[in-house]
Amino acid sequence: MIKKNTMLLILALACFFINSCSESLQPEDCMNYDYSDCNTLEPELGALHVKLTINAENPYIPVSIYEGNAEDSLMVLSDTVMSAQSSYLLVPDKYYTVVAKYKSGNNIIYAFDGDRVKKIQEVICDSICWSVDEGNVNVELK
Amino acid sequence: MSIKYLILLFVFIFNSLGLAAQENKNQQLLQAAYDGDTDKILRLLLDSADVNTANAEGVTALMYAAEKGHTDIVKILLYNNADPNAEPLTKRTALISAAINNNIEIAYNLLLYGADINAADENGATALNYASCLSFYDMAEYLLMNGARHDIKAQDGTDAMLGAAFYGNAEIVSLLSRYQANINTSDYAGFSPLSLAIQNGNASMADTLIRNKAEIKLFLKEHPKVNPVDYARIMNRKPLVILLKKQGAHGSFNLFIHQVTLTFHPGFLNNEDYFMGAGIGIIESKSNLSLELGLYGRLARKRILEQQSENIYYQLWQKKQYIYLSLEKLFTFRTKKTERKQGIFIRAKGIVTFGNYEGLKRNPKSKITLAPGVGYSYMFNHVFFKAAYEYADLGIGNKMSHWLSLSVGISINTKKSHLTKKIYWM
Repeated sequence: MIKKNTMLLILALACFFINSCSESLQPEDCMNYDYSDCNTLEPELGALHVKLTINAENPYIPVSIYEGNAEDSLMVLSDTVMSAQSSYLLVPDKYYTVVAKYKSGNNIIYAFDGDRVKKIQEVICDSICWSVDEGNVNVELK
Repeated sequence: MSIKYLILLFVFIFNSLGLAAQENKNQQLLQAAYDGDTDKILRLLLDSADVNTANAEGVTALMYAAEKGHTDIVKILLYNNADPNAEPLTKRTALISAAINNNIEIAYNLLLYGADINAADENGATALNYASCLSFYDMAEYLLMNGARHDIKAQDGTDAMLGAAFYGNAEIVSLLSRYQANINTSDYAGFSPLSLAIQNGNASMADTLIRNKAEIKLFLKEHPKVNPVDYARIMNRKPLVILLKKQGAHGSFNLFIHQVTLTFHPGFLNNEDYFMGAGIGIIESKSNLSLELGLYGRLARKRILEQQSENIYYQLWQKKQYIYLSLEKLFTFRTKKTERKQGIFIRAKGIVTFGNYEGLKRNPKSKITLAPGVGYSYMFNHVFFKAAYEYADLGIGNKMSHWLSLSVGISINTKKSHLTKKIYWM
């Protein structure tokens, strides 16, 4: 009996927390909704942020960005970066692979990482608000 | 007309006052029996108190006196026609109370005045059942001498022999045997005196039962594939396994899988890496062997360096998982409590690794490997904890092959029938 009651309590708490997180707007909220944060234009580009390692041996880093995996060889951008952080605007809803080329003594190290840039739409009352889930890749040297 | 009504009213008032006074005397009698106030009992009886008066639960003065061990009052009440077989709501008669309190003199007096020696209470337990469970040898012998039946079973099927075996009263077991009680009796769940001795790890009781011709090759009724040796193994009673084998009993070859385990592995780790996992398994209780199938995964991706040619390296983010099938043998420590099981285990884990790289189509090479391990296991009721050392070469991305493995889990009984007995009415 105790177990059953505990389960019911957990279930009730779970329902409470799930419901408390929902942000559905009531019809009357639409009248006073602040649309200044709502971007009604569908984004054509989204940011991909790249983290790099800049050191004495590697003051300039050649960076290549591929659409899809690196083996697909669909290079969309090539750059030489001089800072530890760089951002690129790319077509959203695609997966991108970033390859950074480093020197380490006599060796060459290619650092790989990838992420998706996604556009997100949210229907608020009778408007569609757009945003971008930006991509983040880390091609720093270990 | 009015005089007639007046007389009726007078009679009514007189009767009411009389009844109230009588009720007061009866209450005082019960209290005096409880307190052991002999003088007051005598005074109240002389003053026409009802000797068989009872409270709301049906408890009489005789029951109170018997329960509290006031022998003189018991004698006085019986002499004054107290009913020795009156039953309260719990049906616990004065004789049963006398047996529970091991008061032979009171039992003698109650029987002298015609108490039913085989009366059972609401649990179906008789005076002899209680005396057997409570190790009151003299009381048990006295009851048997006076014709108490040893074959009366309580509601759960426990008779005097089972009660004595359960509570480890070897002398009473022998006494009951002399009175032709069935040494191989069983309760409604199928437990025999020998299986109760095994359950409780009582080797001397098992020895007594065997000397009194307890059957050592009988299978448990509720677990027909389990004989006494199997049961001793399941209950982790090694001395009893040895004892039974010395007597010529053997374990059966039947598997006894009655537990499914759900395990969460919060850590499979070393100074380089960290995996989490979960698995589902089964336990073969006779041999303490367990088999588990599960999945581990890295919580976060890991950066690895892979040499491509002489001077070219790839630095990659690797995600990795592995599935495993593990076989584990537990060597248990001796423990008195059946709900606790602990010991050292050895484990062999077959592992298949798989994963992927961020930004690359190609995946890390799958690796099949065998990981031996040794660890400590502690189980309490249905919850267990394990800590183990494992040697596992998981391939690329893991130079270190020494791992610490931590696990917690629950076991779920797959069989409806219980493996252990409790006498709930004691």
